[in-house]
Amino acid sequence: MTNNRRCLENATPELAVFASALASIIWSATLALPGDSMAGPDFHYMNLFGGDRIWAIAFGAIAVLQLWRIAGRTQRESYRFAVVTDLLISFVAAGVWTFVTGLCLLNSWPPSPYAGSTAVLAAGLWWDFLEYNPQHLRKPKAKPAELIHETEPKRVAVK
Amino acid sequence: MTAMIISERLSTLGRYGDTTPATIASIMSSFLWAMCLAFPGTLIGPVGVGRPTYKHMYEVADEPTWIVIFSSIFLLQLWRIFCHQKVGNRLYVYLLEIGIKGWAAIIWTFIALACMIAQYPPAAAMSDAIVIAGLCWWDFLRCEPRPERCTNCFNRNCRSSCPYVIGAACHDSGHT
Repeated sequence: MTNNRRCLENATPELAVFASALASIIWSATLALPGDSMAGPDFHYMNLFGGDRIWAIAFGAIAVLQLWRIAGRTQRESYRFAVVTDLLISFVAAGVWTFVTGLCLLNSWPPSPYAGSTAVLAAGLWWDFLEYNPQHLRKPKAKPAELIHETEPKRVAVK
Repeated sequence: MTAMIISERLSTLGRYGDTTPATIASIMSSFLWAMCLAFPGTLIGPVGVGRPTYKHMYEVADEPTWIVIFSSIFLLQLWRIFCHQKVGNRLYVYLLEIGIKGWAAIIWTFIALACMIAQYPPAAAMSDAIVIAGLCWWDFLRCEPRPERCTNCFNRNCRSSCPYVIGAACHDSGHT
């Protein structure tokens, strides 16, 4: 049981952020294609809150903000501003994904299975929000490239 | 500059990041797919009965078969997550693990592509299945025989295989 508790010990929630950013980009690109994606029964409730363009912009904005959050972690001068923006963006992203999951599940009966994958990404974003660690915001003493070189694992031959 | 930082972090994450969350994502997603398909009502069925998004999936197998396939991914990967530290480094274990990861990656890729090309405009919500498929392939390609020692300090009892965390101290031994 102890091992199972520790299975996520070395994992980083940044993976969830990258995964959600990628999913948001694909959502945005798909919704931006010519044609009415939201017209079908699968997106009935999402269509009540906005059409293709609105949702494409919303997902595109989430992707850009998430990537900016990761890229700008060590660039921002004000620590407090960085913590507040980080927490705000991760909370908004998690909230939007949860909302979309709920709307996809409510659309029809039996519920659409693709909402399962959406729910997984929403859970990943809540993990990112709840496991938030402001230590990432501290600037590294050396250049990142040098640090990466220093911390590269040495290959160990396994017999 | 921003693109460089993102690509650098993505590259470091891809090479050294822990792939356990990818396995867990596949487990959760398979479970939810199997559960949704098991509800009364037909999702994957002939034209006019099932939903058009899943028509290519129906050409390969019917709904009960897909429930079995998703359940197999869910159960096998869950079993690997729970038991991998009990069986040690054996060649057959490695082959079994890589087989399960490959099976999950192939199934998720097929589902994502089949549902995306089923209609135009494609179902936007299948984007998440594409991401799950990508995570499964990453998990598959990173699969290697589990090292018995820490890759940083060579300590047999060290659990800090986290060189990905730049500038932060590792859990046990304090190496960075």
